[in-house]
Amino acid sequence: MSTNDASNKDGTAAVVTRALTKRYAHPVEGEVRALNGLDIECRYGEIFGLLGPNGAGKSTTLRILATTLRPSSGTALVDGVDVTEDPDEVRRRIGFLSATTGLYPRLDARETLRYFGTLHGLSGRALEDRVEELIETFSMTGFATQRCEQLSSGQKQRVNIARAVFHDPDVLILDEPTTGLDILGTSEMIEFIHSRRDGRRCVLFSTHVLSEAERLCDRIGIIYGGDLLGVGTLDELRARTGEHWLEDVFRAMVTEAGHESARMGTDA
Amino acid sequence: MATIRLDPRFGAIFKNELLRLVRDRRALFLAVVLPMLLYPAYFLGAKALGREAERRMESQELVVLVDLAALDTDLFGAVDEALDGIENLTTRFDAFTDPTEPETFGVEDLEAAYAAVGAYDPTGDDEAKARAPDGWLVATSRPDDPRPRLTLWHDGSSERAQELSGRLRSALRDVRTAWVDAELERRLERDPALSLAATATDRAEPIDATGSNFGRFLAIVTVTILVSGGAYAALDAFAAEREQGTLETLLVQPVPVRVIGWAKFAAVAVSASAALAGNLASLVGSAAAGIVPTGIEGGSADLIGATFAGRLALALALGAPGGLLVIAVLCALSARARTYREAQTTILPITLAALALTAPAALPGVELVPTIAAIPLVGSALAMRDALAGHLTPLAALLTVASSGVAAWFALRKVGALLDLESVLQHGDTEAEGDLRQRRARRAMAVGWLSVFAIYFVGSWLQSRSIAWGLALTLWVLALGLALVLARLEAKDSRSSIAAALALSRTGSVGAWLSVPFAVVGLAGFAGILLAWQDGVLPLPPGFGGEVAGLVELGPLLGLFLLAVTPGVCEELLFRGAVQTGLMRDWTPRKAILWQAGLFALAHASIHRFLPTFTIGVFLGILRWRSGSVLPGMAVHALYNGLLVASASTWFDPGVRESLSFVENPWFAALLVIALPLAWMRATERDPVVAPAA
Repeated sequence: MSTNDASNKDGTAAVVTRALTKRYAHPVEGEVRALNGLDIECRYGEIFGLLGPNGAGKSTTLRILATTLRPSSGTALVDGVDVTEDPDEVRRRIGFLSATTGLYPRLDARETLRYFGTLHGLSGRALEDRVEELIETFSMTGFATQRCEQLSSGQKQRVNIARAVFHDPDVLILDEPTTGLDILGTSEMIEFIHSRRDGRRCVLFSTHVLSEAERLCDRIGIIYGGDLLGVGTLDELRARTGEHWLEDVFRAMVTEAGHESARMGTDA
Repeated sequence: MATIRLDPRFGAIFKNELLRLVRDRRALFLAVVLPMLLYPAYFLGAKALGREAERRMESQELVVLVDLAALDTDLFGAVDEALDGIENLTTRFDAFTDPTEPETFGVEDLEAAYAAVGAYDPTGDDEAKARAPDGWLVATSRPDDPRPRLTLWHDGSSERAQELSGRLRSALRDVRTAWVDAELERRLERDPALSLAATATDRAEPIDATGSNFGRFLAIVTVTILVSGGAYAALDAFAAEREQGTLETLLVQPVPVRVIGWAKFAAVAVSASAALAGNLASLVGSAAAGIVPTGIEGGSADLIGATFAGRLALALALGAPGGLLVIAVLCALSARARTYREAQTTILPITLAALALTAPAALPGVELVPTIAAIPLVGSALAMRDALAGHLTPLAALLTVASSGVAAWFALRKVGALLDLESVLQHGDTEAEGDLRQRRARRAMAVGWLSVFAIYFVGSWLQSRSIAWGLALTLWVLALGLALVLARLEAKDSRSSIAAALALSRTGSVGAWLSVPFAVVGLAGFAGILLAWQDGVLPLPPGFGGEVAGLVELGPLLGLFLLAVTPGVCEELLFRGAVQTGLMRDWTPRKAILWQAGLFALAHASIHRFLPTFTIGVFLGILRWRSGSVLPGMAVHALYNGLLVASASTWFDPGVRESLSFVENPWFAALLVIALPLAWMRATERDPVVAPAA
C-alpha cells in the first residue's frame, strides 16, 4: 500500500465518507447531532474545501477523518484505510493542522521538527536530512535554533506547516488553517495550500472565509447544520443556484435547504 | 534470545517531556531546588528561634499572688523557701477569698473559677494592671480531708502565665519530693532513694529509635514532596499541553495514546523522584549535621550509617507503589482538567487526601495488620515506618506493595483513557456522553461503596452496642434502606417497578432452583478449601468469629433468623438486587458480577473472609444474572449461612451436629460442577425495559 505512487492516483478517491454521523449527548439539551449522514468524496490531485458557518460540522468531519473523533455511525476511508479500524495507519498517512494547533514554547524549531519526525518512526541520518530539507524548503534557517515562544506568528506558522508535512503525507487535512493569522500568515498559508496541488496529493480544508474557498478549491462542499447541502466546482454550484458570488450561492443553498426541511417537517 | 526493546516513540516523548521540564528553570527551581534549600534553613531557624524564646522567657519577671493560709507552719516555710529560690519571680503573699466557694470546691470548671480569680483587681488602674499577678497559688483544705491541696490558677493563653506555671510546678515538685523523701526516711529508717529511685534506660538501639521517629513522618514528607515536585511536571505534561494546543497535534501522530500516557507519566515520575531524592538528601543531611530535633540522644549520628541507609532504601522501595499511585492520580487529574487553572485547583485536594492517607503512620498504636495493609497508600505509609524502625512484617509489606501497585495501575490506565481525543476536543461534551452512558452503573457503584462503608462503620458501631440488635438494624434498616433507595432511582430511570430493580419480579428458572442444594453444599466445601489454603498465608487470628457466639446463645430460632435469613434476604436485595441491576444496565455481566462480588466481600470487613465471600458473591451474581431473579440466591445464601452456623453451634444433639459436619468435607466442592450448569440455565430474554414514551 505505497502512498507515494504518483502514477495513477490522480482523480481517484483519497477521502471517502459514507453516511457519516456524529452525535453527542448533551447533559441539558439531550442528544446533539453534529453530523447527519455525510457523504463526501475527495480525490487525489484536488483541493477540496468544506465551507460553512461556525457549528456547521466542518471541524467534526475533519476530526473524524484525522481520527481524533470517533463517528457515531457510518464509515470514513482515508487513503483507503478505515478511520475506525486502523486509526494508527490513518495517522501515518495524513498531515493535520488546525487553527488551534500550538507549538511547544520551550523547544526550538529544529527540535520540534525532529520530535515529530521521531514520532513518525524516522531516526538517524534520514531524520536529520529531512529536518534540514524542511528548514530549507520553508526558509526557516534564520530561526531554526530559536525557541518557538520567541517566534513571530508567521514563523510559527511555517514551523507548524513543516511539522504537518514532515512525513510527506498524500492527504492533508487542514481545519480552518487561516483563522487567527495576520495578513502575512494567511497569504503564506494560502500559498502553501496552493503549492500542494499536484497529481498525487489531496488537500481537504475547511473554512468560513468565502474568498479563500473561491481562490483555492477545485471543488467545494457546502455544509450547514450537520448536512451536506451540495458539492461541486464553483461553476457547478453557480449553475445550480443561478447566483454568481459564492456568498450568494451559499445563501441560496441554505434557503433551499430550509424550505426542504420545512416541507419535510409538515409532511411528517 | 529476544531482547526487550522500548518503543522508540516512548523514549522520544519521555525525552521531550523532560527536556521541556528542565528548560522551565523557574518552575524547576521553585518545585525541586528551593525546598531542598529550605530544610536546613528551616531547622536552623527553628532552633535559633526556640533558643531565643527560651532565653527571653527565662529573663522575664513574673508575679504570683500567694495565699498559703491552709498550710501548716512547716509546709508553709518549705513552700516559701522554694518560691524564694525561683529566679525572676516575685511572690506577693496575700489572703484573699478563695474563688472556689467551699460548697463548690473541686469543681472541674477551671475556666469559671479562673474568671472569678481574674476579677481580683482592687484598683483597676493601669499601674495596678501592670503589677497584676500572672497567676495565683492557693492552698486549700477540705473539711473532710485535712491534707492541704495546692492549686495554681493561671491563664493558659498567656505565655507569661504558662512560664510561671512551669517554674512553680518544678519548684513545688522539688518540695514534694523532698517532703515525701524526708517522711519516708523517717518511717523506713533508711534512704528511700536506694529503694524507690527509678532510672529510665532505653533498651532500643539508637538506630531503631531514630528510625522509628523518622519513619513516622517519612511517608507524609514523601507524599508532600512527590506532590509538590510532580505537580508542576504533571500540569506541564497534561494540562498545559491541552491549553497550548499541542496535545491535539501529539494525538494525531501515529503513536498509541497508551504510549503517550505512559511516557508522560514516566517523565512526571522522574521529576517527582528527583525532587524526592534531593529533598531527602537535604533532610538526612540536616539530621546528620545535628540540626534536626530527633529527640534521641546521639540519634543523629546514626543517620549516616550503612544500616540506616539500607533501611531507608527498603522503606522507599516499599513506598514506591504508593508514590506511583500519588503521581498517577496527579497525572489523571491533570489530564482530566480542561484548563491549566482547573488542574491547579486539584493540587490542594490531592495533597490533603495524600496527607490524610499517610497520617496513620504518625499516629500512635496503628499497626500494619493485613486489613490496613490492603488499603492503598495507608499500608505503604505504615510499611515505610516499620521498615525504618527495623521491625517489618514481610507478608503485610508485600500486601501494601500489591494494593498500592494495583491502585496505581488502575489510575495509570485512567490516564491513557483521559488523554482520549474525544475528551480533549469536545470540551467535556463527550465526557458528558460517557457519563450519561455509564451513569447508572456509576450510581450503583457509589451506593455499593456507601453500603460497604456504612456497614463497616455504622454497622460495627451498632453491633458493638448490641450484637443482635446491631446486626438486625444494620441489615434490615441500613442495607435494605440503601437497596430500596437505589432500586427506586433505578426503577424511575427504567420506568419499571422497584421489584424489577431488585430482581424480585421474577421467580427464577427451574435450573436455578434445582441448583440450590448443590450450590449450598458445594460452596461450603469450596470455602473450606479456600480457607485451608489461606490459613497457610494468612492464619486466622485467635478468637476469630467470636462475635457469632453471642448470637448462637440466643437459640436456634433467633440465631438462624439473624445469621441466616437476615443476611440471605437483605444482602441479596442490596448486592444482587439493586447494585447488580444498576451495574448490568451499563456494564457487561462479567464486570458487573465481579464488582458486586467485590463490594459484597468488602462489606464483610474482614481480610480473612474476603476470598470465601467473594467466591460466594460471584456464584450468587451468576445465579441472579442467568435466572433474572434474586430469589434462588436468597435461598442459597440463607441455607449456606444456616448450615455453617448450625454445624458450629450447640443447638442440636451431637448426632445431628455430626451429620451436619459433612460441610467441612472439601470433596463436596465438586458439587459445584452440578450447581454451575444448573445455575447457568435460564430463559433467554433480558429483563424487560419499558421503552420511553415516544
